[in-house]
Amino acid sequence: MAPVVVSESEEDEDKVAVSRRSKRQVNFDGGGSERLGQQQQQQQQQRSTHRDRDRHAQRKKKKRLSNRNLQGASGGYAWEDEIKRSWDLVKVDDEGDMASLVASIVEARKKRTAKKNITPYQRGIIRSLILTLDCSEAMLEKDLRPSRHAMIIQYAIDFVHEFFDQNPISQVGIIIMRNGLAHLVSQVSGNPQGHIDALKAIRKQEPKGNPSLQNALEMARGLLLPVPAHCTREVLIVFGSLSTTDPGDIHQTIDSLVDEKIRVKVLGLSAQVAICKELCKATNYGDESFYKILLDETHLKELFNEAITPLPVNKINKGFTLVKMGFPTRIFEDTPTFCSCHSKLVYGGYFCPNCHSKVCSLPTVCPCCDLMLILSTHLARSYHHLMPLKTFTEVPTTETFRSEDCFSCQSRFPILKNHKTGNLLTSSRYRCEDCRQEFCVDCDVFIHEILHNCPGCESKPVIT
Amino acid sequence: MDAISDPTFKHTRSRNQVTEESPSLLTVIIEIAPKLWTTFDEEGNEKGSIIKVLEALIVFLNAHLAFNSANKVAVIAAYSQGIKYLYPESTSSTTTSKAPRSGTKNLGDLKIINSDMYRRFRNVDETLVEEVYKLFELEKNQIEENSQRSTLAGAMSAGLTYVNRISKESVTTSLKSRLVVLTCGSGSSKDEIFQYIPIMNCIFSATKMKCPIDVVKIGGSKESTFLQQTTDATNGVYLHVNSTQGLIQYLATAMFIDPSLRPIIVKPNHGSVDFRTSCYLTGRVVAIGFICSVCLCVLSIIPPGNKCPACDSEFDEHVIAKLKRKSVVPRLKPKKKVAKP
Amino acid sequence: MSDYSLKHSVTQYLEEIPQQVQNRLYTSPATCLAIYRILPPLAKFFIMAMVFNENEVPLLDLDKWVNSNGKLQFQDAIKSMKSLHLLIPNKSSGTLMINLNPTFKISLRNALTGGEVQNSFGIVVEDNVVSLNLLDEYSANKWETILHFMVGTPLAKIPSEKVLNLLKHSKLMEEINSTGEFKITNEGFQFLLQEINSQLWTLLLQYLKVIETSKMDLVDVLHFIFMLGALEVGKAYKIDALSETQRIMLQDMRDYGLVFQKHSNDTIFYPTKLALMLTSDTKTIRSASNAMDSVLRQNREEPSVNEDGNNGKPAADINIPDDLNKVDSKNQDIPDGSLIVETNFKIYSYSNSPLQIAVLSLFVHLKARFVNMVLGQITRESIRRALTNGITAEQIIAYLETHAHPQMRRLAEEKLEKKLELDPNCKEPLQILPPTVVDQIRLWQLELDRVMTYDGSLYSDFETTQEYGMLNKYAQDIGVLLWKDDKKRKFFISKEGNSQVLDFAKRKLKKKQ
Repeated sequence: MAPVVVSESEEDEDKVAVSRRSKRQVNFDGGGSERLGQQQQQQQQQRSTHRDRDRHAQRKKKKRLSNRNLQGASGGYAWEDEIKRSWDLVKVDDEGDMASLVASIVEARKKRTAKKNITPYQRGIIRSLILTLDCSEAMLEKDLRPSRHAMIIQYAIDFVHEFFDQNPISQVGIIIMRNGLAHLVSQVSGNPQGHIDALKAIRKQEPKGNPSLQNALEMARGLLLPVPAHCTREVLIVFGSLSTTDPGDIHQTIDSLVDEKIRVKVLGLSAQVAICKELCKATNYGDESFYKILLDETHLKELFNEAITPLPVNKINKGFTLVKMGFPTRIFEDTPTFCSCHSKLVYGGYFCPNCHSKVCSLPTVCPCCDLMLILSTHLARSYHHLMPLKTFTEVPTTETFRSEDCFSCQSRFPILKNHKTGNLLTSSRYRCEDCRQEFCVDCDVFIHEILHNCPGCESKPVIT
Repeated sequence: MDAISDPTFKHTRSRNQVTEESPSLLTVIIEIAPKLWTTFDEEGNEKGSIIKVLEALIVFLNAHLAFNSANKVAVIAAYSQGIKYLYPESTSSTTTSKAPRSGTKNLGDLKIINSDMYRRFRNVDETLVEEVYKLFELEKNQIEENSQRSTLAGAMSAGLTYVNRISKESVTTSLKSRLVVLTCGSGSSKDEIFQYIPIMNCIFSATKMKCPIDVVKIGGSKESTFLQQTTDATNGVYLHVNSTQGLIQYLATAMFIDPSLRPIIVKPNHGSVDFRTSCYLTGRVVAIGFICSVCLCVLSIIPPGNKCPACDSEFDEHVIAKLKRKSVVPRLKPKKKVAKP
Repeated sequence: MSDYSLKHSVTQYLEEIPQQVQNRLYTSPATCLAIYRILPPLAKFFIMAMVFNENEVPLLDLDKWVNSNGKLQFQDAIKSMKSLHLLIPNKSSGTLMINLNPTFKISLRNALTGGEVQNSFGIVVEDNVVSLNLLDEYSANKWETILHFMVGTPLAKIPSEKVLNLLKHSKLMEEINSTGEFKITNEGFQFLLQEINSQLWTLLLQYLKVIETSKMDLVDVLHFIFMLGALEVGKAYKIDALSETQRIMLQDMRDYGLVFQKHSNDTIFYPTKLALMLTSDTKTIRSASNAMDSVLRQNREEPSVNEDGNNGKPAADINIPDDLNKVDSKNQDIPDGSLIVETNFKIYSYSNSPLQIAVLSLFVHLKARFVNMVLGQITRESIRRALTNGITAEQIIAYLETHAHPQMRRLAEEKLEKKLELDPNCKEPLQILPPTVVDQIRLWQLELDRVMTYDGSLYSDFETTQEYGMLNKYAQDIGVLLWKDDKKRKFFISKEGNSQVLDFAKRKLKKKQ
């Protein structure tokens, strides 16, 4: 009995220590600090109740939850609940499927808008990301179909596609952790095809041995060393096992990562591992939200997609600079000539404005004069991150409606009525605050996820 | 056994070499602000060029509908006060303007459409003419106000949402889509700065949806950097014509390339496309520039005060010093060659 | 497959018509429009480029439009245009110039710009609108009677004499002399598995062949058929605009369900949806009933502005609440009769019409039937049954593909896109059906081919082994040896090589002697 109480109080003290330490760091986004504050309060509460109860207090049958966040539906811990399958969530009400369907549509939309933070942060647009994949024995598990390894490789390929689509002037390198060593799969470069081919080659390799987190981090450090100061340095680790075998002191590695301003994000596949938690916290200025564990397949996809948006710049690490870049002109040729990057014969290409050597594809670093060459379209790709589009608000059902059709696609707004009461369940109209035009839910999703500009605001003749 | 079964499996389908004919959706965006067209008229000493453009447009739509019986059309007009769907007609326009319909039938305008025409063509054409007439009525009342910017980007965005909607609706058949933009060249060159970002967003979403954007620019200067970049990035065709004569011939050839034919048809291309952008401070076109890593604005010179003019973020001292450094080896001026006797 | 072969057969027929007749055909804009739609897409592109151009165009210019991948299609297109006499070559100044057939050019231009159309698209009578449902029912009735009759389901009404005659002439059904009944033939089975568009055209082509002997003018008949394809459903058209021949045809068209007349000697007629499908694209239409739906929907989308009557907005308004009450329907109807084929050979068909089910039962072992669905399995017996009836494996596979559920098609397209993204040179065709099922059906067909026969001669009774060996070797060298048995000293030569071997043998044996 006694030892139990002792360890609990020790735990508490650790937690207190941690929370005190974290208070000192300046958090740039508000969400993290709020949560920490909550935890702090809870620790205070727990401490006082512990001190009240003496050591010879009986262990009560009711479980004391030391963390409200871990509470499950039926009072105990979340992992003690019954497993909820996806088909249990669809409830058929008395009114037929209508109400739940409508609710799910509205909820899905709300989820999307709530997650997005629309304050225009300053973000690091030019990024260097090292993708680290776990190829240890834990990846042979079959909880993700067909196996964790196969699914992760597939998602990594999709991630590379999307990443270069959204961040055209960034660079990616790929490492795997296998058999206690870290292997370089693909050099840091801005060419997506090379990475995809390398990933496809790993598919055939069987995962083996134990992962080594320190080796991977050291290798990532080495790869990110020559990266100039205006680029953000990031590492994304997909970690599937529950332990790591390291040749040295990983804490030293973590400290050196913090010195070099490298930010690490970890996606866990099985359970939370303390060292990963510490790693993420240390390198991200105390923000614990960079360590995520997946719940299921779709959640994993979402987590990967989160990593695609550029990170907000932290106040401590400012690094604002002017970067010198060149905008080449394109030429068409009748006869093929050599390009200076691959020494391949190509028809036409781009001339570097500095040294007039020909390169075949953009964006790239000119191999002769080291000038970064880009097109203005590549810059424009990232504008929507810097100036995100405001979310549309839903028109309340009590208002009289201005129009019957969606402004941009002319589809009629559906009339969804509650069968019993005859009231409108939702107006299905979403209004832009600036131009007061109404859009249907499909246009809303399309505008916010793909188009990033509001047709109503763009069609206003006078700029207010 | 293989010797017997192999021949059957070897000659599976040779028909796949044939281009699959799938129906396609054509969305036309036309810039109809009468002011623009009147300026164009004055420049070129023509009269009523906008009517000619509309005629050509109607025949072009008919040609598209003739290509495949399941083809669809949509027309959006970008005028001085906003955007308006000319076809399919928006229900709001029919409900609000029921009165003029029965009365003044605008028979004068509808005469250009033969009532014996192929029914499908006729429906589209008549709706189009009606809506254009209503639009001109609206414009007549507001001809005094000066429009400050062109609403083309808004029309393109709305067109893309329409394409998105139709693609979702016809999931059963593979519907390809494309966008054609008809603009007038004169005037409106100063608006282009404001439209840069919206047009870029349209380009990216069109590339994602695999919808090529073709542009026809009538009159004005040859350059329209943004629109040229648009067609280049989305695998479209850019055409610049000087007058409205023979417009239908251009539309029926260069603009008629169906998405299913794009892989095999050689597009007329314009040679070099200018991808350079202009400096935020000086307005000059830059080939080598400095980019603020925060707001991504392009500058041709290092700004005084070491602050970015767009986002006011301070730059690191060391890096600025490095950039300001002159080259170690000065460039030799070419010496005049003295001919030795 | 059927899309391509349908167009192929129609174009074949048109190509066989003599040139003067073709020229007369091109005077009608409706015909020109219909013919335009049947051409391959590249041909359509070229024609449109030349329609508004008065001058001649050198062939090389057209060639420059096409890049290296499309050369094959370019040849195809030029060939088809030439055979229909749309392109007129003119070798004047050395280079080959071509011009579009002037009649065709003028008619197509008129069709596009609404020039003088001359009743080619029919004259509409504004009143006397008939409800669409009535037309729907009527045409479905007539058409499905014919098909049911072919399948063999017991019917209350059988199709008329003329139709039966047509079926007999086209060899889709044959008359058993003893009982006078009709039995379906192999071609008939193939006919059943085709799409509705092809079925219509097959019958019409047969009809054209039959009337060639009678006094009816071929051009008029073709004009009428193409005109039917361009009319609007639900509107009444005057008979006065039609010529004698066309009025006679009208009666025949009633039997197929293509037009509707309230009484036999009415002065107006109403085209049905089946008529519209003559020139429509096959991809959007799978079966008769589905065709109705899609055409109806198309008509609703284009409300005519002039009418204040039944068509136009009010009709659309009535129908909207139906659509809106279902949140997720949104015009995404599943075509009737769409199939899902699983890798374990099970078939699920979302169909209710007895015709669809009857056609399916030809080669599928049906197991269960629900309100909106039919369950079945493809077994060896069911396929063999179909094969012995004369249906080929290719047709079964084509049928399954064309009726595949849009979800299957979408999945296949996505897979192909992903493959192409990773490897742009991948030349795989779209695999809508699971490859196991496709291969297995083909293998079952191969099972029926168990014996291969060859004609030829057997050589036996050689006196010496040497003779045998010599002739044997020679036969093998020239490749006509089909079988040999060294022990018994016999070998078999194919018919073609027989004379050679005989000559050789005679020479050698003469030498010896």
